[in-house]
Amino acid sequence: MTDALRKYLSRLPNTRTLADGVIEDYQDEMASKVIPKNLRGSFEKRRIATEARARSVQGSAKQRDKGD
Amino acid sequence: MVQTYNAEAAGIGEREHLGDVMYRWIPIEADTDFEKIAEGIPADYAPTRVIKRLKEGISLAVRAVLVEQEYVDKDYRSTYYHYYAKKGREYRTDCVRLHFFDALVKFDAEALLLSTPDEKLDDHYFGYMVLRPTLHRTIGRTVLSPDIRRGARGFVITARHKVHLLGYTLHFSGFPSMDQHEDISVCSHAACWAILRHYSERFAQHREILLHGVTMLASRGDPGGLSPSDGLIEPEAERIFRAAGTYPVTERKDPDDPEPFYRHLLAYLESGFPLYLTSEEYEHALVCVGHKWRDTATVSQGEVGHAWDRVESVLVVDDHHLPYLAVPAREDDIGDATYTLENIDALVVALPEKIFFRVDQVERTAIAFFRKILGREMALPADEDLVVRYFVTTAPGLREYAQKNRSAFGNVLVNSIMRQRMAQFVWIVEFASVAQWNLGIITARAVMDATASAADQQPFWFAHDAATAIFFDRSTEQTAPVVVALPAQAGGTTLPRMERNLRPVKPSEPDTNREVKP
Repeated sequence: MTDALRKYLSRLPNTRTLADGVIEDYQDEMASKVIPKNLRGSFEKRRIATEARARSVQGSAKQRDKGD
Repeated sequence: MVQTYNAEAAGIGEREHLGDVMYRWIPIEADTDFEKIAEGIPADYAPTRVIKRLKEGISLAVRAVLVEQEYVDKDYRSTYYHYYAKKGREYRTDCVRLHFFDALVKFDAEALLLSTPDEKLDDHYFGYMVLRPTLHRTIGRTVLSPDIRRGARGFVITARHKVHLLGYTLHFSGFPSMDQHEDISVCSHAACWAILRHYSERFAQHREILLHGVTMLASRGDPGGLSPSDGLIEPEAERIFRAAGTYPVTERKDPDDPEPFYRHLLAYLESGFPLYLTSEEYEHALVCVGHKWRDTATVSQGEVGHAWDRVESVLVVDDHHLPYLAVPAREDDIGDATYTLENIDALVVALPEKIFFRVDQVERTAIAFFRKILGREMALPADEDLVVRYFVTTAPGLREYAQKNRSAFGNVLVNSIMRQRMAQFVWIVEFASVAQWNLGIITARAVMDATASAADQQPFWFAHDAATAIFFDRSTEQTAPVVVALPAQAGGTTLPRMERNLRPVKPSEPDTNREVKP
């Protein structure tokens, strides 16, 4: 937060800090969340990339004209 | 003298046939008038096939076509120098360019003057299409306004393009497209080229890369010879985007749980990033450039709704069609279409460097933030009535939006946003009830730091609804967030949904449902 914003907010009449425990409650919620598959580190990403190479070629010489 | 094309008046008479006329003006009053474009255009440009496409896909907002012959097209020349010049068959070096205008433009064929009553030629120009002398697949570099595309509705990513014609400099907005060549380039190259050409027009830091240059970026060695005709796999497309100075991310759809893929696709799209999409079933690559919200009355949702549930169709640049083809989002809505977004298996998005906070992290952080922090300070919809939407924009873009919507933000919030330190990119998360969504308004908005890391405890700059704002001090996590009561505004405050990165399609002709099948 910039000093300019901090000073500006301090001059406003109806300001307060967030109630105690709110942030902790949020952080507990986040900590309890299951990490999705695609966040499981580089091994998983490498596997997905390898799979992509093996499975998919777009626009090959066999490309068919779908439209017209 | 202002007139439509007349050979005698142009001083041509019987001396020369139409093919010798460099600039030819064709008034359009019915679809069949597009057929006149073929007159005088050599078969090398396959005008008949091009005209079929125009008749199917271009609305009658277009009232005149100016045919410009002997046009030197940089993208075709890049392939000519490196490919066509090496072939046994001789290929022409010049192209034909078609320019599309509305009804108010007049052409003086004798003086080669274009005029409009309001002298604002830009406002009456819909873009251009280059025809290459390659015998088939002849539609080259094309940039058209989405407003003239039959069947295109909703919001679309565009950039401002500049065109030099007859000494005039014309400006308009659109998204680039071209046919694949089938040899020196295929659909995946055309898709990469379209995205990179959009970037070079939209963002000053990106240089222009011609089509042959795009094919050369696909691998470390020389990917010439037969290689381009074999197409690209996603890592090669990723390599092209990386070599062009972007930071691509690839995501494959999980067939057992496809919804996150679609939500992420929409988030990137609404951020203004065109998406390279691939389909294994169709062995095809295309670019997603827009979307249309569906009739919300028909939507039912589960626990927490996402904006994706409200998408009816996406607009794609598919090289088998004119640009801005509407493709249904779901198989249930397939109608006469031959493919939907459900046939797409993966996306590659060319991001800027400084987006470190992943889209899936935004998604899970946003819901927890909504429940545990915003819910303590603001009156929010229940989970089953909640619609969440998130996308990236720039901090200057957010400030511009706040300034332009000062009546909704209020002076205190605008003042605070102008003083808030933010990184170049921010994630915007908007929360709305179903009823609010239908009205195009929201309950609350959170602004997250796009440079945050996964381990960041509080990746927020600020959040607000109409009555309250919460500011987070990202210089330290020791300082509690500051809650500010926003002054009530006269007449109350409604917060509109932030539509910033895409522009609405403004069709100039009623939808006649004459769209070709995708």
